[in-house]
Amino acid sequence: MFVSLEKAKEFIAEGKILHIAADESLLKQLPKGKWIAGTIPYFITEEGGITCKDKLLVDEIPYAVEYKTMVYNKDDIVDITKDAYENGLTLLVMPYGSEVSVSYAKKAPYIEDLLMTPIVGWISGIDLSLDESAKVFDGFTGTSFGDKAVALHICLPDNKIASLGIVNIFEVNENSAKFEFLEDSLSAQKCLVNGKQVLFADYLIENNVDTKSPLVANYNGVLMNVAIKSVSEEDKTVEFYAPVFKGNEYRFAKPVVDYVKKFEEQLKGFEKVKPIFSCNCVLNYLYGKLDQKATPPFAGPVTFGEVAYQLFSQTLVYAELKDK
Amino acid sequence: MELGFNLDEKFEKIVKRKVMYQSGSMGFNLLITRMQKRYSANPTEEVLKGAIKEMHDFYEKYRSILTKELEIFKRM
Repeated sequence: MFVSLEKAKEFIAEGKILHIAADESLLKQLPKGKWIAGTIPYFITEEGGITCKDKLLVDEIPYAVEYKTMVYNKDDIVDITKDAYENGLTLLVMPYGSEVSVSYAKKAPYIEDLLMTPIVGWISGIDLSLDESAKVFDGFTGTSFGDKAVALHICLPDNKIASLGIVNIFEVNENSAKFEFLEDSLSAQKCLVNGKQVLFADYLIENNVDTKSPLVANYNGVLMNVAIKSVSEEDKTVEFYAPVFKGNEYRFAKPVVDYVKKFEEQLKGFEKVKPIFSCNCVLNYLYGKLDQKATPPFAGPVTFGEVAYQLFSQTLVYAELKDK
Repeated sequence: MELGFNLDEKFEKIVKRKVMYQSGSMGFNLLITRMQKRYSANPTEEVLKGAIKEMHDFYEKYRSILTKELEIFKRM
C-alpha cells in the first residue's frame, strides 16, 4: 500500500506489523511500533513507478504467528540464520554503502544453512540527486542506523511455507567472452578473459563494452547479475554493485533495447504469483524508465541491491507464501 | 510416502553433474550450484554424502512446493 504519513501512523497505532519504505524525512516522524523500514524515495506502486517524498510504501504482515526484530553489524550478520524461525521468513534491510551490506554480500553465499532459511529484503538507498546517506529503521525501538542491518524474523503458520523468487530480464550473451575473477570482491583490477589475465578496466574501455549490461553467472538456471558501478581508467579498477566470486564463470548479458517491453515479456510468466514482498533494482528503474510504469503483480521499493537468500543486483526479487 | 525410487541416487547424479536438472525453486537451484561447486572442488565420498544430505534436507522441508520435481526425478 502506498499511503500518507497519517495513514501509516494509524496502522502503527493499530498495532499492525509493518515493513515500510519511504524517504527518511517521513520515517523520522513515525512513532515507535511494530515496524522496520529502509530509506528510499523511489517506488514501483501498483499504479507505476514514482519518485515521492510524501508517501510511504507499507507492507502489512498479518500472517506472523510470532516475530522478533534483530539488529546486525558487519561481524554478526552471518548469524542471521541462527535467529530465524524454523518455518519462517526473514525480512532484511541494510543501508547502501554500509559495511554490514558489504559483509553480507560477501559472506552470505558461505553461510551453511542459508538456503534452508528464506531471507528476502533490500538495500535501502537515497535520492540520487542529493548528498544523503541511506538508513534503516527499527521501529520497535525507534532507532535508525546507517551502519547496521535490521531484520524482522517472522514465524509462519504451520500450514504455510515461504518461497522466494527472482525476475531477471537479462539473458547470458553466448557471444560474450568468459570472465573469471581471482577473488571474491566488490571490485577488480585483474581478471581472466577467456583464460588470459588482463586488466579488466582496460579490457572494458578498449572493447567499448556497454556496462549497462551486467555480468551474469548461471547458478543452475538462476542468473546472478553483477552490475558494474564504475570503471576507472586511472586506478585500473572496476567496481561492482554486488560481489564477483572466485570460481564462477561470468559473461556479459545481452543488451536490453526496450526495458519496459522486456519486463512485460518476463512478467507474463509470473501472473499467478501473489507476492507478499517484492523490490526492484534502481538500475532497472532508471535504465528501464519505469517512472509511471507498473510491473504487475509486483510493487515495492526501488532498491540499491536485492536480497533473496544472498545479495543480487539489477533484478526484482519477491517472496510469497504457499500452502504446505 | 513411498516414492518408488531412491531420491538420494538422483541427488548424487545431480551433484556429480551426470544429469542436467533445473528446479522450479530458486532456493533449490542455488543449493544445487553450491553442492556441485563444493563437490567439484573436493570430489570425495565424504563431501558427496554431505551434499546429498543437504539436498535431502532441503527437499524434506520444501517437499510441499516441490511436488512437480518428483516426476522429473522419477525419469532421471
